[in-house]
Amino acid sequence: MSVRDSLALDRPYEYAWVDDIEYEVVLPPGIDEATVRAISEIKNEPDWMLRLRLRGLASFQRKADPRWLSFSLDTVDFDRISFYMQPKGASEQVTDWAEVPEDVRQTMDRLRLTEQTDILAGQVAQYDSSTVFHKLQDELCALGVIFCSFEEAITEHEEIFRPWIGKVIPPADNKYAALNYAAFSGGSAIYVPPGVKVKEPLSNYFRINSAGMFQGERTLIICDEDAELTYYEGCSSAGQNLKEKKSAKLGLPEPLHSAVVELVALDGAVINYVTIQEWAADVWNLVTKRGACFGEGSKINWVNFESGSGHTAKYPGTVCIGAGSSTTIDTVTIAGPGQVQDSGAKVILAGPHTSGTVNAKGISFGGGRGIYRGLLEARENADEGKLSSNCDALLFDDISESTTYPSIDVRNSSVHVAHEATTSKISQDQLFYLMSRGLNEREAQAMIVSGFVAGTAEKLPVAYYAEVQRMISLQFGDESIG
Amino acid sequence: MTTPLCETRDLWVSANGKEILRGVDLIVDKGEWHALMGPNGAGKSTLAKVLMGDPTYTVTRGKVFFEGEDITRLPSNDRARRGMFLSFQHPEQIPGVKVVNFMQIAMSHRQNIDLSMFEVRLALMEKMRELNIDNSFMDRHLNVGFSGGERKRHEILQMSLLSPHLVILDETDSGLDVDALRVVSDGITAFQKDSPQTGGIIITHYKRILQHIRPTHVHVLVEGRIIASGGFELAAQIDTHGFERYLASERVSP
Repeated sequence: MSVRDSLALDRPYEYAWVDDIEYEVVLPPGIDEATVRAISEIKNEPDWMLRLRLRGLASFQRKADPRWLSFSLDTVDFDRISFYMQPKGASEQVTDWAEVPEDVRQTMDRLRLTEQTDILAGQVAQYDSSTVFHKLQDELCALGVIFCSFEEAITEHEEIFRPWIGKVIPPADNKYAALNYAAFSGGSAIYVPPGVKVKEPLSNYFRINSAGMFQGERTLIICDEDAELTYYEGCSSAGQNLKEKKSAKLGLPEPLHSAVVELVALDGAVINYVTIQEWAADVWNLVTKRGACFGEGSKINWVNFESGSGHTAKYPGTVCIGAGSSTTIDTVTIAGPGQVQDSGAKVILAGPHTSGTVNAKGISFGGGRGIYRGLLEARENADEGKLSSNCDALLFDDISESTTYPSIDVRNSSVHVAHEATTSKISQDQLFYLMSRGLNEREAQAMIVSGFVAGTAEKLPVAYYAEVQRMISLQFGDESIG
Repeated sequence: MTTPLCETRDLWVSANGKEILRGVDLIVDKGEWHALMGPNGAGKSTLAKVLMGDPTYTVTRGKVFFEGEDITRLPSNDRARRGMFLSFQHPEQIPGVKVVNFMQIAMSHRQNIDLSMFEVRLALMEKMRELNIDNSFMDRHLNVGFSGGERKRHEILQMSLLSPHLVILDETDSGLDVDALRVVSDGITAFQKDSPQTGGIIITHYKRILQHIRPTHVHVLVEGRIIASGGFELAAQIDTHGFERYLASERVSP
């Protein structure tokens, strides 16, 4: 892509294509015990996993939707959504793109995933309900690193992963985490043995091809003592921009995405977790992501770029338990026309000398709504802890929204707390200055946004910096012109 | 007769319902440098911004021509691509955007070819040396934390790299100490020498910068109209006597 094109904001959603593929298994719409048992049976799961799923189902059925959320979930019709769609020929055992069903592989080509395989330490790809590809560098295998589909983690590496499943996010955490427990499919599990530092990222990419479906992967990452890992996840779906939602055209319910991500850092471990979320505008993105620094001096760092989906509820969080453990949570959310980004971060200090830093940047334009919801919590044992959050909002116009709900709960007087929030608006004078140098209005807007998020973008692995620039370009759409 | 480089014909401009320019006629030919002087609030900066297409202002009557074409309704970026350049009196800060990244896009547009980061850095380094600017400058954020002198030098740097056919310098000399003024003036005169075909409009309160730049024409703008025009001697007169004699008077021919 040329230098100038990379900043052009006038292109439609780039990932909207639909594959006309055959599905081997499609469960009838709705979620009940029969559905849950069917999914478990397809996956040949041990009994303990089925029981965990059923506990999730019970929680899901018991729990109400959150009342504090800034959008209504009334239109999410669980009875009309299919909770399992497995593409024909898909298998999580595949380690060679040539063995992936052709239509699926072509899509992965177009998403530039196949070309990344050699530069990543490991790669998993999921299509609708199924993992379709996974690969890990041989030398990492030899060092004892495990990177596999979640299904394989349960059946092949039970002794490593089972003790940690649900340790960070229990089945009763919230309604959508409970739903994930009941109906999860796909995702990946990672174990890094003591002292192993994985230099290149491990990556998983999620693709939704069908309207009317649920995608609920699970991710579990365990970094053992002094191990290090960077994990990257990306996603897209076969939707359209909001003006012509595919699911609306077909009269199908909009896709529902509810992931559960659990991170476990033992003594001295470092986990960097990067998300670039580019769902189409018809996706409901209601995810639960949380890490626990169990070990002394361990670190969990989240970097999130969220530009897609019509409705997002996402608050990545870390609980710092081990003495001297720390976390940083960097988020960038972009809310365009018709989008609500209800997102934020949670930091809970539950050990001495722990610290957490949140940097949230929200961009709202064309009537988009950006809501930051943050929790800074320090428990009684968090002696000399440090908490800080910084929320900056950038507004394009008067019809867009930026709201901040910070919540601070500190139970130990030796904890240092800092919270700052700013809101700024793109000024006509800034646009004129840039346009007077030859940039068109959209390029000027994109440049201002790029600058606004630059501090966060610089924290990404180099390979993903360009991806974020592209994401910014894609997001603004043609509605951004006044 | 050849086509003028830039021309305003009976230009009337208002902003927020207030009339600012009231019939400005100005012709700038290739290689000519016109100084525009006048008291505060006369409309000098407005004219500069309107020439560059600032959407804050509304042209209510009259036209602007550039190289023979009516550009009255053209957006700023098209004017820039045609070779117009405005050096801002108060350049805007754009946090997070590095000078070099910004110049890559701006220069690529102007030259209509995609320049690599390496090419842009080389071009910047060469010009920065002439303007006595440190190399670290190109990795700083656009106008963020720049001193008054750095901002103005940065504007002149951009001007030199975007090879404009017409430059409009809006109070480039204001707020500069003697040393900074010399650097900026030298930058402009070097540019004049390199680009003899380029015309200029320079807005200033002071004769000092004009002694370096040597305008071919001097105009006095009062209450939105040019009420006196002449050569360099007019600037000297104003420097001695101020604008008093022009205020509340009819058009004067000195």
